[in-house]
Amino acid sequence: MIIRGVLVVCIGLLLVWVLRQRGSLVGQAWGKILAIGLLTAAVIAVLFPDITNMLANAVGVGRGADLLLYGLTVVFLASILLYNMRRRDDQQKMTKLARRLAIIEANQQPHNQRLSRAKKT
Amino acid sequence: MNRTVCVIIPVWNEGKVIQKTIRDVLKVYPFVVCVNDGSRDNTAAEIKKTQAILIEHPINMGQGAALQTGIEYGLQHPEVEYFVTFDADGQHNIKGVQKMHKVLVNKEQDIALGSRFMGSTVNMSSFKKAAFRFAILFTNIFSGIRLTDTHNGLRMFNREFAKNLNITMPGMAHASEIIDKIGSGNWRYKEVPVTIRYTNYSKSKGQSTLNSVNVLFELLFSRVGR
Repeated sequence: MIIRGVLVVCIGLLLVWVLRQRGSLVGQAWGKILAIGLLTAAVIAVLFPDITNMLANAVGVGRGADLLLYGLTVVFLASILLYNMRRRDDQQKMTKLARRLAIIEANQQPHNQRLSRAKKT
Repeated sequence: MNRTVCVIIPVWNEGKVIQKTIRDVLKVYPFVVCVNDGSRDNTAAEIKKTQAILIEHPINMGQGAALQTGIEYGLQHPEVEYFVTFDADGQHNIKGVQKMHKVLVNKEQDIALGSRFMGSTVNMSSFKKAAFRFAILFTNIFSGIRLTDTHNGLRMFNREFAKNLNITMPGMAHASEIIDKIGSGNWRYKEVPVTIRYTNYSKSKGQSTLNSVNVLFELLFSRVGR
C-alpha cells in the first residue's frame, strides 16, 4: 500500500531535515510554512470531512480518520525529537554561562589567588 | 617540571575522602584544581583545608562539564603544559600519573590514557567486567581507534589537545567524546597500564548495577545528533 511507503519516507525526511536545520533561519522559515500548511489542512479537514476519506482511499488507507491519526503520529514524534534537541541546546548555553561565572568567581577568591601566586614561584 | 602539570579533580559529594585524595596528589604535583560540581555535603569546606585550587559550579552539571571548567581554568596559566584528569574518590593512584608524565615528556605522544585492563584490577565484580567489555567494544567500533579501556577517568594530555578539546556532552558521555576527539584528528595517543582500586567506599558510591543501564544508554544515544 502506498501509505506505508509515504509514511516511512516522511519520517526519514523529517528526521534528516530536523537534524540539519535546527537553529538556522531557513529551517525556522520552513517550520513556519509547515505550521501554516498544517493548520490550513486541519481547517479544510474539519470543513470538508469527505476530503480526508478521499485522500485516505487514494493512498490505501481505510478511513480519513485513520489517515489523520497516521499524520498526527508523525508530527508528534517529530515534535518530541525537536523539543529534546532544543532542550539540549539550552542546557549547553546554561553550562557555558555557569562555567564563565564559576571561573570568574574562582579568580576572585583570595584562597585561590594566594595559591596561584605561590605556584608561579 | 611538575609545576607544568595541572591536575583536575572533578568532585561531587566526596567530603569523606577528598582531602586524602588531594593530599596524595599534592605530594607530587603542586598545581591541583578541584571543581566542585554542586556538592551538597561538606566537600567545599574540605577542599579549602588543602592547598588545592577550588572552583565552584553554581549548579550541578556533570563530570564532563567539571573537567572542561578545570581545563579552561588551567589554560589561563601559560606555564601549564599538561593536564591530568583524576578521580576524587581514591580509585586512582598518583603513580599512574607519573608513568604518563614520563611518556608525554618525550613529546612523542599528545595523550596518555590509563588502562586498568593492561594493569591490575583490585576487586572488580564480574558484572562490571562484562559491562565494560561491551562498552569498550562499542566505543572502539564507533571511534575508529582501538583501546583496551575506554572508560578510564585517569588521563593526561598536552596543552594542544586541551585547547582543542571541547567537552559538551552531559553526564558520563564525556569519556566517549574525548575518545572521538582523539580519533578525529591526528592526535598521538598511548595507553598506559594503571591500577584502579575498588575500595568498599568507592564500590558503595560507584555505579550501581542498575545505573549501568543509564550509562550504557547514554553511550548509545549520545552519538545521535553530534
